[in-house]
Amino acid sequence: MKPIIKVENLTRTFKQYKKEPGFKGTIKSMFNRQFFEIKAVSDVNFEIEEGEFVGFIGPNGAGKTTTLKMLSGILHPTSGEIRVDGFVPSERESNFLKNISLVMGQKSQLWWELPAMEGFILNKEIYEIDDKFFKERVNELAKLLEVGDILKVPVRKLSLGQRMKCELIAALIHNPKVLFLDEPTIGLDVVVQKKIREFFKQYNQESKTTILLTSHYMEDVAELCKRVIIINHGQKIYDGSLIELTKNYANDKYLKLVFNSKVAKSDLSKYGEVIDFEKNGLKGTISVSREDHTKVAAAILQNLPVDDLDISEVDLEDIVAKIFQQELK
Amino acid sequence: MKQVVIKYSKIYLIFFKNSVAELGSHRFNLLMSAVGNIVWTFSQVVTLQFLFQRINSFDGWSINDMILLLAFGQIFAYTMFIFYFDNHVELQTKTVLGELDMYLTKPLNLKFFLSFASVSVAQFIPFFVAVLPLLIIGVRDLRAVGLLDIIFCITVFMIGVIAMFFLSLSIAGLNFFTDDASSVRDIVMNSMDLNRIPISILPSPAQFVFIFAIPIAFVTYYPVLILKSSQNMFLIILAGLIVLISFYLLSKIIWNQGLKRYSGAG
Repeated sequence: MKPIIKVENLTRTFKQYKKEPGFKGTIKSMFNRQFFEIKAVSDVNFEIEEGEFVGFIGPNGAGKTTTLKMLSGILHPTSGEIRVDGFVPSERESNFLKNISLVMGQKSQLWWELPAMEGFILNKEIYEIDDKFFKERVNELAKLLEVGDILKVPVRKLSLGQRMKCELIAALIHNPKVLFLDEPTIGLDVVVQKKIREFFKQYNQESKTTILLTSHYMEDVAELCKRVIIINHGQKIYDGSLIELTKNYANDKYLKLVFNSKVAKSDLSKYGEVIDFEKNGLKGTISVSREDHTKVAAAILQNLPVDDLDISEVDLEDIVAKIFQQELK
Repeated sequence: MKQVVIKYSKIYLIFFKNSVAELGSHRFNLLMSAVGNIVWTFSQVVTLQFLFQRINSFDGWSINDMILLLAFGQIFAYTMFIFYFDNHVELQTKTVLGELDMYLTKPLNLKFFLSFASVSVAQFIPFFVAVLPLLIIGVRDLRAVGLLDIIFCITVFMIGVIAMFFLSLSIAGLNFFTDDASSVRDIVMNSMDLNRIPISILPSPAQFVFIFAIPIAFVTYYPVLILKSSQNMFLIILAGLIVLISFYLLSKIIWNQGLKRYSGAG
């Protein structure tokens, strides 16, 4: 299959200046400003195929948003090449912009004082959508996101979750081929996060839209993306399937245990590293090697008063943290 | 081409409607600002009347000519305030805070979007209440003006308005190169005070500045001069077009280069 996004040797540097603290530093920086360059993205390469849902992970300042902004034509790369749906994003051709959409959890495209519907109508004209398709599309998306009753309420009166749902409608009204999501669930409560995740999942399956997602919430990535790209200090450090990532970086599995009578922490630590242990001695989680986990589970079941046992993969969050720690070393 | 015009007209109409809808939230403040503008305009007229009680003419300009000059200056100022001024001023914050991101992903001319997204509808009040009467007073003692003179007057005024728009757009674009270019706008705004006097009384270098660098001569002095006495229209329009094209190209260069430097904070 032909890639819809192709990134080759992508680099972006930012010029910044530093100022010494205090009054003296202020005066000094007025006459002799010291500039330096920061490489936000450095020699990044990847390809994304049509319909893929890819997670873009990295700590703060890793270069995720900068990459997303270059892919959507907001920023010009310092060097390297990008092709999205055959277009060079920084040229901002109309046919390119009509086929993409960007949702930023911390930025809004809706008019604060006006109902969200007014923003949708503006987008209808900007994207040259005909009346019939517009009505159907708004109804369909509003139904999926369960916001049909708030579209005529001024945006400033909406809750953060409602606002984000309206932002999503505004972003998807023109049925983009490629959707860039930058922290779309940031600040939302778990119920709304889950609802929005379900929406993305269904939307990707039904519309075959290519989606690139950055999120600090690993649940978003774990639930939605089969493939992840991990970036740190502007460099790509992993690009592959989520399953492979778990296999390669998580040598352990978690045994989550519930006991029907009190157990000492020392009893549990005999079987593996204790990750979590409740003071009342009735719940605990241990990490055991992937190879031995069945044997260890059998031994625990035989020797401890187990009421419930759950074997799970190590959290994606822990895996990613481990990768970043290795990078640091 | 026709479709593009229809698309942009529809979008502008939405900007206008949305601005009217937003007006409700700031009613009191806007009303007070309108009152302030009306008071300012009338204080200018009173000052002129006071001056002309002592002099008969100002370098060949009568009080009505001066009022007409004031009227053109005010028509231009309100055109600017109603249609694009606030949008260009806000561009500084938008650029520094990285708020251009959402605009840059839309298939719409960026400069159009950023210049006209918000219309200062409230400024229509002082425009109609204060400026139109000035115009009516100003034209009272004019010579017999032909249709051609009126057409040329409007043409030169429009050339000046568009040239000043591109100058304003160029200044807004400077924010891509520095954290704060608002003082450059202040220079232009401060020099606009001079559009209430005939530039012919200024020394030649200053006249050159107000024709070619900050072309306010095309929005006040020349339109009134055309109505006041017969002029070499060809030269005025040619100079105006040169200025307009120069500022259009300047804004294009600044924005093309500026967008490459845009770093979209965050």
